[in-house]
Amino acid sequence: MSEIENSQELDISQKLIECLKVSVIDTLSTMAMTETTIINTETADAFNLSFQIGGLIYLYGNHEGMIAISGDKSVIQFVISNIVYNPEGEMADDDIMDGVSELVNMIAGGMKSKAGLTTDAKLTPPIAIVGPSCKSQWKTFRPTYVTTFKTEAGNFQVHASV
Amino acid sequence: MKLLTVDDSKTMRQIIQGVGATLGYEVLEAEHGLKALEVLRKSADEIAVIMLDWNMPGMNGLEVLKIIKASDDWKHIPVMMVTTESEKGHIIQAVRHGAIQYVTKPFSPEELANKILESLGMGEL
Repeated sequence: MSEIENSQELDISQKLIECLKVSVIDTLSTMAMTETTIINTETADAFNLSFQIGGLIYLYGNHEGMIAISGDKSVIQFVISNIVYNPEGEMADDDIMDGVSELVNMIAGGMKSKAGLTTDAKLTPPIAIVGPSCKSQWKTFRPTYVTTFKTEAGNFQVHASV
Repeated sequence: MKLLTVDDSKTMRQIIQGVGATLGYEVLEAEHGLKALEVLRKSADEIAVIMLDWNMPGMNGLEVLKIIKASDDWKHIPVMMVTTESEKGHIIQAVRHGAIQYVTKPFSPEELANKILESLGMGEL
């Protein structure tokens, strides 16, 4: 890959990361009616998830990548409960899995839309992982950006290698 | 009258249940296209609006839309697409095949409620 192609690739990645951050804030404010702020964004060499609840989705076609949301059960449950208008209810693991899948799907869909990606960039069906303490790692060709978001129930992270 | 939501995500069906309840409508659910056709065969007379997801296992939302609009018994029922697919090409295809509204996620409950009311030919909230 030439230097010019490399820098274009980097520009698209940076644009997608910025669109993803906006999409997270938009999704949580409109669907979960929750104010969400960015604490920081860090880079990592590999796509590492360490969490109680995780949702993962792949972008494929003319632009490829991985996007995930992860956090403690209390935080993710708070967000999903708000989305389904059940703020007080304890949720079953199946409902949390469905909710975190839909959440990562909406966030990634919002990113695609804000970045103006064409129909040639598609999203796979989402993957949900629920467990007391899960650790997963994917090797990627691009850097992973990990953004930490703050909600009134606590922090969660959004990981992206795009 | 009732609303019909066709979405493989239980979370989305719950969201639409919530919005339907605030408008005073009972919401019927189908988790995929074939189930939706089953519900329509039984209850089409009671259904005021259908809300269709685009990406579902088996038939996608566009295929379900085409079947609905090709049926003399069902083509009068307004269909809204409710989806994360926001590309212009998708919207054009849906409208060309008879969708009356195209709602992209994320949306606020009020936004969805207003789109449902518009589909029913009523004013906003």
